[in-house]
Amino acid sequence: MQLELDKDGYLCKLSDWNTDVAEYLASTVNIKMTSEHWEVITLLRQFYTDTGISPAMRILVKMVKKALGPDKGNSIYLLTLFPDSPAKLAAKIAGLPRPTNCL
Amino acid sequence: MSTLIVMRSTPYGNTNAKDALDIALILATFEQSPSLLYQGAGLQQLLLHSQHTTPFKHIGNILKAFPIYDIEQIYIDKASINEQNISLDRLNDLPVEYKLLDTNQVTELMHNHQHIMVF
Amino acid sequence: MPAMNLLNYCIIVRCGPDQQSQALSAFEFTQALLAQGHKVERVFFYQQGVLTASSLRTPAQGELNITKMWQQLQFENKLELDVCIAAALQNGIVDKTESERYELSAHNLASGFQLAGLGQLAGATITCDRVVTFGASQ
Repeated sequence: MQLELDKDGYLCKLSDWNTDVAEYLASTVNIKMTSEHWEVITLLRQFYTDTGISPAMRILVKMVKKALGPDKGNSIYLLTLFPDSPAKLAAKIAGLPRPTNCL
Repeated sequence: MSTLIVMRSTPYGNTNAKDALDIALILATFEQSPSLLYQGAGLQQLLLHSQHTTPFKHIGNILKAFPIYDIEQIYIDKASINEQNISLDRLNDLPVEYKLLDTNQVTELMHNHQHIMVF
Repeated sequence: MPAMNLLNYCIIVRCGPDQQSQALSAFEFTQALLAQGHKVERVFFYQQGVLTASSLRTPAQGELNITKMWQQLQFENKLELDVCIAAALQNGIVDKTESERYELSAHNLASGFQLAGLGQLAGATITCDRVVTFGASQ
């Protein structure tokens, strides 16, 4: 696939994103996309469209909790979907900028 | 309540509005949700959320994220509304709740915060 | 000498080094705090303030080199000089790591300064008694 990615594997041009690109980006971090993954990715993209913010972990958890309930709105669940760093991985797959203030 | 961020800049011309919002969001991420006071030209920031055609919509849209960040203490300096020639109707469409403060209440608000950052 | 209440400070520098009087006030205030025994937990360079941290600044002869002055103060007091990473990248101030990440041709963060997230500033509002801003433009 002809995609411009930066050193950390984020899209250089956010407009390159589509669902196939998302599947590919997921494969670069060894994630096989399921409907559970898509639920979170869709939420994240909607939030970014509404607010222009790529959220950090705490806000991602709250957002998922509000939309999908407490069974999914917790860090353990998100860690099983997006290991190690859910906010960063989900943002990468969703074609969003790096979550702000992640340093 | 620890930090009050005073919004005094228009969203045009410099990055103060965006830079202040970035601080507000990060404070909230650290469970230190700040209070925000819109004063003077800063009120112009509140008129952006409904204007999707401006290149500045990004800043206006951040308001919509305030609830999930628990940024709930939003204040508007009453005297600035007349000064900026803004009709109250336009503030009615804001996606967030706000309180109008008179001059004495603004003073009190400032006394009630440990840190104040003015942008 | 009367007993003085020693406090923990965070200094925010928002003006560029070209705004000499404000940039100098931030430096001298920090220096005075340290001389009086206060703690300066960190100095946070934000907005145009990040330009202070460029190792490539070359002020004209006879002008103060505020970058070198901060470096010296940092060296003498083990100060933490934090440079907002988002503002730094926007203004062309990068360290080696960021230069490699974004495949840039060079890096120019002056020694003694470090790139930091806004989270450091958020932390400082919790731990510091006073947060004092210099160089706010309106």
